[in-house]
Amino acid sequence: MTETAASAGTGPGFLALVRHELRLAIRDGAGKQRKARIIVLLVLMLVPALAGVGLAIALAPEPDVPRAAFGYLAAGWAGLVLLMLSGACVYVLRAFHDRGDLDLLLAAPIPPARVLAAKSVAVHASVALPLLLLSAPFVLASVVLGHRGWIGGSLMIIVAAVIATSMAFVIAGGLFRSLGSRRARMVIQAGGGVFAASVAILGQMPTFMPARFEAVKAAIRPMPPPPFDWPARAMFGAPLPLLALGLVAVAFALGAARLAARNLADAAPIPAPAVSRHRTRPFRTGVMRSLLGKELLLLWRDPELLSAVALQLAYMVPAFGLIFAGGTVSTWRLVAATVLFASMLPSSLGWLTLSGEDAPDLIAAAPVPVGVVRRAKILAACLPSLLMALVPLGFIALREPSALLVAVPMCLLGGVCAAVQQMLIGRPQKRSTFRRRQSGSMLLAISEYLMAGGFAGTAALLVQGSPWAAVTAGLSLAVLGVSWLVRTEK
Amino acid sequence: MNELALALTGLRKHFDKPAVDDLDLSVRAGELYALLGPNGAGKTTTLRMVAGLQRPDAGGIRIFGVDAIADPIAAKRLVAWLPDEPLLYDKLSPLEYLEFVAGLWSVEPAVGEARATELLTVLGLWDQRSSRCETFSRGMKQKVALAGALIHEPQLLILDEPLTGLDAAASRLVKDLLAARVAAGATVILTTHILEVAERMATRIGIIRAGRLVAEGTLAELRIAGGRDGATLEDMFLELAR
Repeated sequence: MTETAASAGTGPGFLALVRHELRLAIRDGAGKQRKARIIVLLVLMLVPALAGVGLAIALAPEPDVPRAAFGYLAAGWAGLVLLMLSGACVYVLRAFHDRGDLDLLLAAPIPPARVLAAKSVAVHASVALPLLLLSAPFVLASVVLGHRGWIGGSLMIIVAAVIATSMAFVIAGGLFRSLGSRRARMVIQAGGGVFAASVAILGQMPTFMPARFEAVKAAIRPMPPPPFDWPARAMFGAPLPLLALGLVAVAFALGAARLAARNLADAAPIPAPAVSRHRTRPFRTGVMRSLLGKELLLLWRDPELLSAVALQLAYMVPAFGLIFAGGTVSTWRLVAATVLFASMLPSSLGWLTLSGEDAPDLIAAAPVPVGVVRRAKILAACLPSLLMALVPLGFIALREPSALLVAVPMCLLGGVCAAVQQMLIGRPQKRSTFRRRQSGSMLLAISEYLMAGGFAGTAALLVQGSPWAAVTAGLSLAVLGVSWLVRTEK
Repeated sequence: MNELALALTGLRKHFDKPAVDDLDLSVRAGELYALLGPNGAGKTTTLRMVAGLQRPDAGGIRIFGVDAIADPIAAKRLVAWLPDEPLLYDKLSPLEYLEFVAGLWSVEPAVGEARATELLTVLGLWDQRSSRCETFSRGMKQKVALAGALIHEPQLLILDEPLTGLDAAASRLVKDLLAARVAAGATVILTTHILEVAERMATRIGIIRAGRLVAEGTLAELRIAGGRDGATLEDMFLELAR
């Protein structure tokens, strides 16, 4: 071997690989809207910056170690680890299942352990960075104002991220090994969605169940016994708990790297083929049935569908909180919540059926009018949510059958308008880019909520016989009108 | 056979520069016509306009006498389009995919099912008929897409680089299948960078450069026109495409 070849065999160093991973993570999904995203991010960072500095000033007179808050803080930190775990599972999935360049890196003359360690660091950083950035204004301002020990808060975010990511590596590795990569992916995505929904629902506990919330608060208020108080003490800079938890995090990271990362890297990059039962039914007749059948089959088999539904529910929880404020259930509230659901879900499904068409040229080359294709896709986007809405509609029928006269048409109108909005504004993309849908256009996401909220309000007001329903309906239709004005050329 | 399967007259398409520039081209029914040209010559753009995927800026397209611009649906009934990247859905099995395509072209269900069985058997995919396409190799995907293109028995089959990614056996299979369709009366237009395929299979060859047809004819006619008796298609192509 020549000298050049021998030296080339060592490959890039660990830091170079980490830099490569972080560069990919930063550029992920940026595309042409990078500048717009940076502006939105800067605006979004202003809020925590102002709020964080304000909070630090407000808490400046507090003692360095506010023992009264230890119970809440210890529980909050444990909750943070769980929250991070959900996100970390998805990051691990992207790093090792979606692979990207993993095959290239493992094929290069670089020690595999170095590649996996660099990927792991990138996952740890991806989990920790958002919260570190959000909390930085508060922590830094507190340090400047005299609470030097509060820097421990930032360190404990890193500790939480490392522990959560390590657990995610072990969980994902175990799932990959026991279920295979395809099922593991589905479980992780669905689990992430369900977990996010659960957190959102818990966040609304004071609204739904005020008495239960107070009881929980009272239960976690007292100072927890050692070592459960260590996270809270470490947050305020206590050196020994900080060191101990730091060592725990390092042990978790090393253990996870040994136990799981290798399993993930060795997992088959190509999932085992999914085999449907050999069919016995004859071919379908007619263009519309073929289109609708294909869209519904693809939706049913879409690995993102479960997490999409769960996340959609999670996003709706705050709105449900408003509708059911104080734990009151009434017909108009039920109708509003049902219409909200039926008007929101078709947005996600509409993205999948209308924008996420994987063979657009096949459809365009077929002797089928564009209108027929669009109608089939809109119908496919609306059908699942309408079927799911049958459950609350059943409750409404039992409580007040006449309210169905409002609820059913409004569910249909809301669903169709949501899908039509996707058709007007959505940009054609590969179905596999679904997870980046919301980051693609923040304005679209906001307008989706606005339109669905308008239809839910209209339904509620119609049930109560209020003429103001015309105003909220007008708002939703205006959003749709604006969508038509700014529609994208396909 | 004198009927024209495809007649392009004064076809133009401009993106940031002219992609197809006043192109006149005729393909007779029952021919296997090979459209050759260097990268960026306008082959794919031309074929996409014929398949109804892009509107020309100017000019006319007639497919078996049907004006494809005035009545695209009628024209599309006669055509199948097979691009170099297979048009598939990863989450559908080959049989489900063929059912879908047959539905788009309004093929009678019983007829479609029989053709699907025949095509999957001929292409060696019958055992995988219920496996989802997501785990298929590129060659297998290309074969499924080809079956989709053939299931409605198109009169005009347009193929853009149909042999890309196929192994020798699959490549032979596809070539035999195309030859059989031509023998049965169908018309095939294909682009390829494998000049040997054009040399051995094509009834006539057209060479396109910068969106214009620079040479056309049988291999013998091209040799005579080029004044190079005994020259290979590769020699002539390299000279004309320069």
